[in-house]
Amino acid sequence: MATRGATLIRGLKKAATQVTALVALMLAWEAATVLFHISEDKLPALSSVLATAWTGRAALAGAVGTTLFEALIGLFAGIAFGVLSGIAFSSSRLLERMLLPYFIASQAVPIIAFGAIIIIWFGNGVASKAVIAFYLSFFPVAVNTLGGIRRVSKDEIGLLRTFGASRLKILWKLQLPTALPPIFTAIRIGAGLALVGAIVGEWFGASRGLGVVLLTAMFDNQVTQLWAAILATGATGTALFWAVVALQKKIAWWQTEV
Amino acid sequence: MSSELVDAQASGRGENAIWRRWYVLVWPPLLAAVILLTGWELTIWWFKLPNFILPSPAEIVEAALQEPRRLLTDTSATVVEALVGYLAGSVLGLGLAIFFVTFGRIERLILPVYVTINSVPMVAYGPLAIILLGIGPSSKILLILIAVSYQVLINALAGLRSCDPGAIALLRTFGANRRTILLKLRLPGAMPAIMLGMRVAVVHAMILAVVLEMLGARAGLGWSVYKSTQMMNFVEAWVAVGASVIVSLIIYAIVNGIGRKLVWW
Amino acid sequence: MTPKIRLHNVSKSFAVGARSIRTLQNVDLSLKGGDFVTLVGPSGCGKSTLFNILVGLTAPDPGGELFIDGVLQPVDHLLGRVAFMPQRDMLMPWRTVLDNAILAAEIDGVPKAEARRRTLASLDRFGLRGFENHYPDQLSGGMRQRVALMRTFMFERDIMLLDEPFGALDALTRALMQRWLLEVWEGAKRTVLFITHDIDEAIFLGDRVLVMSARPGHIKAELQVPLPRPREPDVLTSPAFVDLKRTLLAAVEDESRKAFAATNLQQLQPGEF
Repeated sequence: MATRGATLIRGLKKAATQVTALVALMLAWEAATVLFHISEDKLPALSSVLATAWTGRAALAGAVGTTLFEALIGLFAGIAFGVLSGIAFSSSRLLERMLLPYFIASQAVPIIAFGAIIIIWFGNGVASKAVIAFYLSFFPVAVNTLGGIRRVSKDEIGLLRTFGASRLKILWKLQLPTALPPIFTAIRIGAGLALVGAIVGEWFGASRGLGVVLLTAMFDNQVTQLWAAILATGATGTALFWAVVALQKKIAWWQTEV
Repeated sequence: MSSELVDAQASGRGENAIWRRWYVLVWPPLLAAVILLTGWELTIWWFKLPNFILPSPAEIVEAALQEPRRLLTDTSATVVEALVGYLAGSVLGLGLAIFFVTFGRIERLILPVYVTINSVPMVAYGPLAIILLGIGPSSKILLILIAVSYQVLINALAGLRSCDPGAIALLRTFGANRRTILLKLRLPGAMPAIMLGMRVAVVHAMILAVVLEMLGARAGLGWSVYKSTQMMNFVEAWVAVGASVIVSLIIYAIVNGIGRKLVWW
Repeated sequence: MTPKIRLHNVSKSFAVGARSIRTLQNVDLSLKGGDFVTLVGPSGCGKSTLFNILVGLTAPDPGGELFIDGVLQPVDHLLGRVAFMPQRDMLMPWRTVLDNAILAAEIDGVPKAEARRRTLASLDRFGLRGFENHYPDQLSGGMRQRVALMRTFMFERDIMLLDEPFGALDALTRALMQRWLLEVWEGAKRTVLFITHDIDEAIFLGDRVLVMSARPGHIKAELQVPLPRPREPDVLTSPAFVDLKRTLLAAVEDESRKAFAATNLQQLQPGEF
């Protein structure tokens, strides 16, 4: 019986350590570039990176928005498909045996290598990036949906059957709620992968987005701009992660550590 | 309420059961493979797809056999990058995990830094690595090393820490010191978690190698895909993609197999 | 008078590997309406299989018959006829106490609002007033069992099957729960079959105690418990009680020894105790 207060304090402490570490890292960065006279084109000072980011903030924000949009569309599609597949696999052993090995193999395949072909099939716009994001995110969700549904013991199902519950009711009232915590864990992973997919997708062909900003900075040898884009990517990924965690705490609140 | 035992017909009687199990496990994916390949050929034939949209499996195999040496060079380049980064990263990750568990104070100092660095998707560092280290293999290996070490570190930490405090207390009553507890209890107990981390990491390593090559490289499967696409030679791109698929699956199977040998319980 | 529920010639075998294990052998038992009957037996005697049959999760071997109110029941239509309380409470962590209690009724088709209303009215009887919006994780073991019991009672069926509901509780809580269960039962007039390992509990709660033999299980003995109701706590040390206990112990001990010897030769079935 954990008290809400104790968990909250523990959470705040963890956040505090992380924030302190971040601040310390930032100060160390700034100090190091000054003290060790590191050349500008290898590791620019944090201050100049932040300044560059600030001056280009509109463009940077636009890039973040585009990439996030692509990633989220792919992620939602991946979640929908993943959950449905997981449910399908849980109810048919045959289906599972036929298709699950392909699901697994699909992840060893670097879809990312297919990027060029995806662009040919889906064009230069949002769709192609979303497809890659979808491809990367559906698998963890499918696996965790299946695993979560399987976690339900036969005894629990048996009990509901003695109440006269149909298979659909058992799925809706027992199996899916039980699977929600692991599904959210998978969404955490999937969100990160979707973002990566969107960025790399942009490398194959796009006019806007974080991937484009990164690539352009590389070709122009603009290290400061590159670092600004890296920080923006990191911030986006972290924000996405914490958004999913917050959602999990609201929806699957009874088991946040999975 | 007990779990249901198997009613009526037995589901397995001795060696008949093993035979049947194999059969049941093998034919469904095989059937799916046949359906996939047939569907592939049919789609091309039905929609009259030009080969830059979707070449047939036969074409791809043919093209692969035409320049075997280059394919081999590219494959080995990518595999070397992936494996070097993977092995070095695994050692680093595991080493750091053990270090952190032994010296908690250092963990509090270094781990947050590591987490922050890794909160940026590794591919985003790609362009930076190319600028700083050039298009040779080192830029890829460095990033793969960092990503793999992080994955293994997190999993190993969780595994090492998941030890039952009751078991630790018991060993201490036997007079065990910290090192013995680590070696005899924590480490074996953490093996499943570590192997899980390593299985996930090996897939990431291959993918990272291929992706990073696309930004710039001298050789490699990812580089081959990029070059072929630029030159509109799409069959060639498919060959490289196919090769990376097969290699990834082989490496994953190997790591999986080793994992099962090490963690049989 | 027609018995409320009656089993006749019920047997059950399971295939395990190449062998066939006979778990139940010609079980005959019957309960009158309003009876509170307890069932004791050694580990592995097939108690759980018997319950699975009564509840409709398993079918008996051909030849076995189950009658409710004198009517022969087709074996695949039993699910939902009997209110069942398993050993583990199996409360859903994402539902409040109230919503857990209405679960069976809800699945049965009772509109949620109506089920909630009825359950709220019974909170006092189950000692859960003030906890209706709590979550299972916040409750003690005894309280969770009470929620599970409330769920079982809210599933309005005349026949109730309780599978060692108090097994996981400490002795003091168990004693309180036993007395409280009898109070609730007196008010509800259901027919109850109650499985237990605890001899004292079996005699204290029941009008009759059935003794199951070691595997293959059948009803080996039946003991009438003529003690007056309502049962007071001091009846546990009364001479009448001690007499009954002596008889019962002898019958059970015999079967326990047989079961113990048998387990040295072969594995217990999963899930049996």
